[in-house]
Amino acid sequence: MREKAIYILCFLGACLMIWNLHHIFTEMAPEAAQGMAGWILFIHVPADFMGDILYTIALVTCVLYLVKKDLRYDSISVACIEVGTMFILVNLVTGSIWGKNQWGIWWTWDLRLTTQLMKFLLYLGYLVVRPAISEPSQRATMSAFIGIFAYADVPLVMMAIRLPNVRTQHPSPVIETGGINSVMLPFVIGIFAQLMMALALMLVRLHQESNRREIDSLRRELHAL
Amino acid sequence: MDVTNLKFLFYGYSAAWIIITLFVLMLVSRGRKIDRELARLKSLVEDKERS
Repeated sequence: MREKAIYILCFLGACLMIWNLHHIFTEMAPEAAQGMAGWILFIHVPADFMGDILYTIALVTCVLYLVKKDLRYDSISVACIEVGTMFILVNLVTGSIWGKNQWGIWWTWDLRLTTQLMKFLLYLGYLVVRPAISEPSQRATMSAFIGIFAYADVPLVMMAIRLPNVRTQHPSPVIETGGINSVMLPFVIGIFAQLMMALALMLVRLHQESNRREIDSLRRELHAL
Repeated sequence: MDVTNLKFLFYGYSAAWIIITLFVLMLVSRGRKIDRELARLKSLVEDKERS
């Protein structure tokens, strides 16, 4: 059942991606100032969106773990954060390539870019610290605290381009500049395609976590024998 | 079709797919390691219970 769901999600995600690429290349004209490099944003923006959705789910499950002490919530948190961090890395790298074309530089210590890099590093820290703690409930508690702390950066990234008196190199979202109609479809399809991919990866990761819990309990059993 | 900056589009899409592929490969290799460890521990527990 789980494997079937993974295959179906991968198939749907692939279909949506192929359809989206076809739509972008056949129906859309390259943007005047950016040329074809502007189409990088159809991967860049949905990747950030997906990362933030997964981090928000992780925040909820981190809190739920601390309240209920159920290790299943910890498994969901780590699955969300790992897949989310991969999407944020995609966002950072594609953004850097887009920036090289548009601004002539790979990186600038702009508020938006810096907070986004901080977000990536904070969640990477979560993933690096986790394996260092061997006791499962201690690991889950520590991870939940780090997960909640790291989320503080998510609203900062969102606000970074909206704060008054802050000049940022990063463009405003198209939804706020009135340009949404022409590019709405590839963005929405891109988000759904990446959502399918994220769900498939999450299912794989959750299965691994449940196996890991079984390994922990077998180790305890072996120790007791 | 105007192909201005096609090079950067290629770089962007390639980078995204390379990251996703590496992540999937990492998941697969970790999954195999976990499965092996699980099988090893199960047989160890069975052996201990028998003896």
